Amino acid sequence: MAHNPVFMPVRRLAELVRSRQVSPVELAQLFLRRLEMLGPRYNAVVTLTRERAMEQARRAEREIAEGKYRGPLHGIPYGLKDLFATRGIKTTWGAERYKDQTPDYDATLVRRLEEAGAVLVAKLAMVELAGGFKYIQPNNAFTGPGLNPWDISTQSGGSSSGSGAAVAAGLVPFAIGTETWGSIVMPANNCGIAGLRPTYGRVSRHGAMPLSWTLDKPGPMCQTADDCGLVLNAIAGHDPQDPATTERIYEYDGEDWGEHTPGRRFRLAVPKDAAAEADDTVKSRFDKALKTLSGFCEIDEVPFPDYPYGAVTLGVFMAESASIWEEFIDNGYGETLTAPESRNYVYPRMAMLATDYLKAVRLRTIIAREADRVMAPYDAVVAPTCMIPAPPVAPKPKQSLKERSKEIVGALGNLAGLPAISVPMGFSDGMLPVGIQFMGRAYDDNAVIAVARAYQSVTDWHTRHPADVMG
Amino acid sequence: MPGKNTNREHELELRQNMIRQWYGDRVGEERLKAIREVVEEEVIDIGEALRETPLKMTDEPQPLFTPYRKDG
Repeated sequence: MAHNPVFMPVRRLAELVRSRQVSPVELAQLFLRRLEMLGPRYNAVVTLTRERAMEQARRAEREIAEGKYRGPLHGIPYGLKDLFATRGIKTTWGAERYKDQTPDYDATLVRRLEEAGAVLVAKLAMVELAGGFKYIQPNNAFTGPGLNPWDISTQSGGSSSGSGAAVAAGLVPFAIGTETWGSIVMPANNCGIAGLRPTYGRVSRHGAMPLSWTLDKPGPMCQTADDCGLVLNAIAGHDPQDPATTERIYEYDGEDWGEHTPGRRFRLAVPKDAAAEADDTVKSRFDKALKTLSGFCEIDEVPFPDYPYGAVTLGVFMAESASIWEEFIDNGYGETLTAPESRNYVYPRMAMLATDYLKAVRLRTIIAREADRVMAPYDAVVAPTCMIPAPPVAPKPKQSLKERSKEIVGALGNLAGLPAISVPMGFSDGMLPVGIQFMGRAYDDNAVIAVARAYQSVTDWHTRHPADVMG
Repeated sequence: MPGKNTNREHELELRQNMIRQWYGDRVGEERLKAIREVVEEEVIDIGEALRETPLKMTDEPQPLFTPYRKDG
């Protein structure tokens, strides 16, 4: 191949595929080889989907040769978090109990990617049951903990652990993850890639393992913010099989930049004490990032109203997951979880009362309105994605509700279903990436992508890759 | 008339009893102690935090239920 597609952003790769300088069949073969060779190093892959990939790649090659180009994902390989149903391909949810689960249909998102011409090369590892029973250990039942390509003694992050690692190691041009509370942006932070959590309801959850009906959100994980927009464009849209999907049309404005034209100054809000709980590395990189952003943004420090964000989010999560997983819990399958400590977290949610849940969802309405009022004058809220770089692969220390509540942006953003994107903003002294997140008002997915894209146009953190995986 | 007894210990015992009655035979006494800690740090703490913010009777959850009719 005259061009090296590894680590190439989808937008550039797509141009090479469209102009037939790169063959979809060769691309699929290349990434299947990398997944096979390097995937086990990061515990990133559950199933290689070779047969389906080659069939899709050959079809893409034929269609493009005939002038039937479907768009920027045509012929581009991707990896899928192993909680999306794939017809005839095992969908394990990272758990022993579901190791042989083989759906007879494709999730809506998988179908949409197929229609866009993308090539499914792998089902990627995830934390067991998406960490729904408190992942004290970041384990997948079959592949072990997700390891970070920047340093395999640290976590790739969860629960979209394989998606984060696979993109960071150049095993796929893009991947799909899901977030209930942090599961896209945290692995994006740890692995130094772009991860977009779309507005709740932008992307269909049909065919995805449910953890919490009103918190679950599928989204893209890519080399760049711009690529996240390209992928979102293909997967967003109303789906009659997911009643939560919005009728609002989504169209990525990456090519004409819409109202976010180059040279336009963005308005950003930094929540008061956004980095107060961060370690020194994250604090200093965030300060530096704010200086960079001030070159093209007006930045205000903004106090957010005092609400129990963490408690409300956790209240919604606990009650919904108790109902979703009631049969699993009652039948004793919680005892099959790999981490013994997690097994004790299976039962307490069953003691949530209907009134606890309703109080949480009533408070959510008030919080969402208040947050929108505070955010209305701004293009995005900006904050560190995580308070630390990737932690070591070891059981997580217990985090109290009070501690979890301090990360307002994550709790509020997921509770209110707001879009957010994480992109790298530097490295620790130990060469671990750290991320910055931009969060927008509901349905302002394009605004957060635009700010992140503008930030990436004046920084080069996203062009750096782990040394031992270069293509 | 006295109000609802929301004393923390009382509330914890109430919720823990639910777990004990439903799953006690499966998990045994040792694990029930560990589970009790989780009930306290998650269920009870959440409940207390939620009660700190007063709500009006008209503060409704969103979205409201919509009646379903297949043919539109």
